[in-house]
Amino acid sequence: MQDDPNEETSLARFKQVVDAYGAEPGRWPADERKRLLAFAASSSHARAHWAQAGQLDDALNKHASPPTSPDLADRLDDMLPEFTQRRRPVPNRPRAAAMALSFAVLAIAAAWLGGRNWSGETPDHETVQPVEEFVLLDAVPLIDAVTIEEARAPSFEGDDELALALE
Amino acid sequence: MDLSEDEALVQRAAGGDRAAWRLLVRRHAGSVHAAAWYLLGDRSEAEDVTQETFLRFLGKARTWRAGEATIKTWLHRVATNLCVDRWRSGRKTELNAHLMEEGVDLEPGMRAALDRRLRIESALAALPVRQRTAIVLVYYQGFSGLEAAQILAVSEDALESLLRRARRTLKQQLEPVASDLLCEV
Repeated sequence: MQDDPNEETSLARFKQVVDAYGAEPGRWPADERKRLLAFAASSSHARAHWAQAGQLDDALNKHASPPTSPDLADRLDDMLPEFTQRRRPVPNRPRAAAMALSFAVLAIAAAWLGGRNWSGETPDHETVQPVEEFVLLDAVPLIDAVTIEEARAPSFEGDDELALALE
Repeated sequence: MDLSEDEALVQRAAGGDRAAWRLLVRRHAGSVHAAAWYLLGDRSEAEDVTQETFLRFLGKARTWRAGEATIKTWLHRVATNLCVDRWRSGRKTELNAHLMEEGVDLEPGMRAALDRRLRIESALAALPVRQRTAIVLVYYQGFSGLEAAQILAVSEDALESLLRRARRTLKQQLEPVASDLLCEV
């Protein structure tokens, strides 16, 4: 048992840190490291606890991860051109299709108007489609491929996801 | 590591600069892959997670804002999420037990080394996922307590508590074979 209450506090904190972060001072909280090292130099209890923690560190250090395969690095390298190509907005099919449809409708309307009697009267059996109906087609919001792509990208979704996943 | 340099690389990569992208991959892929391997215990699954993480990173690169997080922290947060998802979906660590079960012919020294390695893998795999992740981030990936706490979205005190509980369990599991584990092959 330590007589000095300050030393007791320091020993308690020293043990807490070593029990969490292990014996390697490089892992200890940076703002406490210097003080804890100075304390260990003056406390045999601290040094004994420190040495014991080193055994588990040694065992864990033997568990080295395998190196990354060159094949993986190549696949990751190739992601950028593939990704940028996918994002290119040139082949914007929904917009192109909508424009083509609008032109077709206008062409049909023009052909119909060109072929009708220009006396100003509409024959009873004919009903004229209101032009506004066609124009509205252009007002439909078009889906932009780039916008969809951006919406799929995560924006720090990790916080909530992880918090939930780890509950 | 120069963080501002990392961020400059991200900007260049977002503009399609392949050399910048390659540098980012060289800097971070090994670390992300290692973290995934420690968490999943399977090399091929770890590669999948690494690829998915970098794909998501590409999606984020264009709108990356300096100061939100370091690139390394962001990558590990995403990779950790993906590992936890896989782990929870039932694809749990299978270790290398098949080598032992299938009676693969190994020299005595190699078998002893593999046995030691399996003991540590098993002890790590038996930890609750949050404790295991904390150990992997701090012990194997070299994150500070503060950074690991950010990745796990917990306070620094909570992270210390996770680490303490994890180490206590590991010590109990490995103590009976501690002398063996400390032997060099």
